[in-house]
Amino acid sequence: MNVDIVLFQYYSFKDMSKKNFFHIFNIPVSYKIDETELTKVYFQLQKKQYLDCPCKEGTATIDLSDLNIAYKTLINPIDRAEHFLEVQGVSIIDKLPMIFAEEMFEIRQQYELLQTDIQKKDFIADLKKRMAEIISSLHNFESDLVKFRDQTGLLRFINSFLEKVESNAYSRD
Amino acid sequence: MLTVGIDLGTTATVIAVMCDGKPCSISVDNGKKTTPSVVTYSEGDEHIFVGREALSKADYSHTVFSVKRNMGSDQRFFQKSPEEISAEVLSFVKKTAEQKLNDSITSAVITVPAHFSDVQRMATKRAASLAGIKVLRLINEPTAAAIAFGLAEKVSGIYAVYDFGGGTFDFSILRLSDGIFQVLATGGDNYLGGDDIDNAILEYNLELCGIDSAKINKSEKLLGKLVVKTMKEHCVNDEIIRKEYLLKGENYTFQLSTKILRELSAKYIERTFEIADQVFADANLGYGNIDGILLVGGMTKMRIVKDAVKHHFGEHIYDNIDPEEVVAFGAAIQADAIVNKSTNALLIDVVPLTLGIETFGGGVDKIIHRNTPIPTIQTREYTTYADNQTGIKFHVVQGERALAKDCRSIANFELTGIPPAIRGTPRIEVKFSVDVNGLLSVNAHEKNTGIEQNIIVEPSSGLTEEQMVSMLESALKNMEADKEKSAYLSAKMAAERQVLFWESILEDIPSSEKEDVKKGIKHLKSILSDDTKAEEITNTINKIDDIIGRFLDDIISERLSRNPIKIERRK
Ligand SMILES: Nc1ncnc2c1ncn2[C@@H]1O[C@H](COP(=O)(O)OP(=O)(O)OP(=O)(O)O)[C@@H](O)[C@H]1O
Ligand SMILES: [Mg+2]
Repeated sequence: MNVDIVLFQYYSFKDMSKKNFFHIFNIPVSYKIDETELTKVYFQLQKKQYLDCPCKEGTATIDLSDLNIAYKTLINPIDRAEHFLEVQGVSIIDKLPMIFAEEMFEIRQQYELLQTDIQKKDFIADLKKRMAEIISSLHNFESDLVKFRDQTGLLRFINSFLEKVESNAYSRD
Repeated sequence: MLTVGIDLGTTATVIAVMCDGKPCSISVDNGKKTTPSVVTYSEGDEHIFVGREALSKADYSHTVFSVKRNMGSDQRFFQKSPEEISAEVLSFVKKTAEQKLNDSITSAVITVPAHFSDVQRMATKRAASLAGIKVLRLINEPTAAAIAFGLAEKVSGIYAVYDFGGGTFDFSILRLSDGIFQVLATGGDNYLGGDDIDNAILEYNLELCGIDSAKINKSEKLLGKLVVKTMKEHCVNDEIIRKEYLLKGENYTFQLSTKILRELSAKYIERTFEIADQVFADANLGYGNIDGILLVGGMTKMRIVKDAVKHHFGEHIYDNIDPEEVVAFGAAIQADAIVNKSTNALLIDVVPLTLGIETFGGGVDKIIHRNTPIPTIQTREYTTYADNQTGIKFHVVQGERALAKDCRSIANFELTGIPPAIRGTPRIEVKFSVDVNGLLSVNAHEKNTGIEQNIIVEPSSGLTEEQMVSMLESALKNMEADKEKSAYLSAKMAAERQVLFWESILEDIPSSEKEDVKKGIKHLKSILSDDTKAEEITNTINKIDDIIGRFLDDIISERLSRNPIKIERRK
């Protein structure tokens, strides 16, 4: 028996992705959401779940977990964009749109050429600004799902690029 | 039957209970609300001293300080695990509180640093079991503080909690609204606290005195640390503080000024801001988005820290609840809310550190990201890498770093017995669940065959299951025995214990109060054998406690500068 072979991730998926999170909160399926309203409903549902739940303290209940994931997905602009696409039957998977290939390559290369920490910091700040801009204009593409998907793909790329850069620089814990 | 909240701190432990709808702490250590988290073992282990009594021995060769920093590790101190030592502290506050309140404590909410890993949480839970306390829930210290603050001030909005304690630093941002406490993001460092600043002050002074710090032993170092700790706590004005430090029969003078203290603590304070800024970034908020900062932890009593926080965030600062008690208050409120199933302190806390599985090549497949609300369940599917591979090893890690080796290893497990098949065909589903305590359990099963593996993550080198069971059994037996004990017996035991301690420090009590204490002890002894006088015994203890509590800390601090005395064995 060879258990020494390190596991290899074949495919991984989020269990929940088939549910429609917008429905859980009873809000319209739209990228544009009212965060205050979402949080308000989330709190109401939390309270209701807490009072209805006959379960023992400390056991992870499926319902609360669903609710938490749904909230976390919708409150996060990138996760929300992906979920919005998913419920319309559009998948962005890992295959990022080719039109951005060059751009993504460029971002990576530019970053690698940077010498000082200050330059890197500025570059990261710029990327974050760029993400914020894309996010704020994303709802304009709701009726053009291909475009919406492309923008979301770009967002996902920049975000994971930033995550990687930051986790390499991570010194806490 | 009582349920309490306990803040098991690195340097001090506080136990609180609800009195008439409000949290109040119980003065368990000689009339004091905080019990130093210090345990002294007498030679041969017959006696175990906790809190101020442990400190008063002034010989620290058998004393354990700050054991919380080692929770979940396999380190041993005088053959004791960190869990067992913490259990002594918990058991002390529990028993004394029971005697003071004349009621039994059955369950508790215990607080842990928000940044505690799964392994450290598990160890804390075990410590409580060893002390015979049922854990209703583990909650995060900054969250607990926010509950106490939110309910007392009846505020809503977004608040940050800056919790700088003896051993750990935590920073959380929460939304408070209508009895709900939602943690938006949290971060921290388990090895950043007053202890580190004490070390720096000690090093500075040793150098000043020309003492080679490598040449002093552990007990002498601990003594030195206590001396500088008191100096740090008294360093408020511009004057220079001086204190004697006796080493190997020679007298040295330690000194500290505000200016030096500021210089020595600068880098630690700076680090707290770095962490805080990361939390702001995680929550996607700026300083201007919050309604105020709540100061928690003894270190925030330090003027320098308070001013630095004000200066850095430029936000409104709340320090109206004693920063040493506020965490225990929140725990007591939460305990009460759980028992009564009330919705006025509903928590939505988060996973503090990302949980993942090591992937091919040493990377990490992040499964539950930090700041995900709990409880949460997430699943992933994996498959085999080679043809006819019958097992898969999983390595669960916690942390933010890109490589598994840089993260904290949480558990290793194997799923075996997968029927031989072409690579890529078995479907192994791995399910991560984090419960409301922040504790992880992992379940893996092969979908085609139903082979299953369940693991509850445990400290990798903690006690064995057998040891655990036997310890639990004996703790439970003790609990049964305790229950049968009448109020009289428990008061009598407490009195006997305290009398010995009081007599040992009698000579240091100021003469104006000495007579009162002596009289009290005499009276106590005279009623000790009368089992109808349980209440009077307790009252008398409390009265003496009140007197002694007023200058006990000074007595201990005085003793530190004197010749160390040996731990005397009790007859
Ligand atoms: N007035 C004061 N001035 C300066 N420092 C103080 C003061 N009071 C307490 N401290 C310091 O605060 C620290 C203890 O804080 P606290 O009691 O909040 O920690 P803890 O809860 O035991 O630890 P943790 O929360 O990290 O586990 C010690 O380093 C102590 O010296
Ligand atoms: Mg604390």
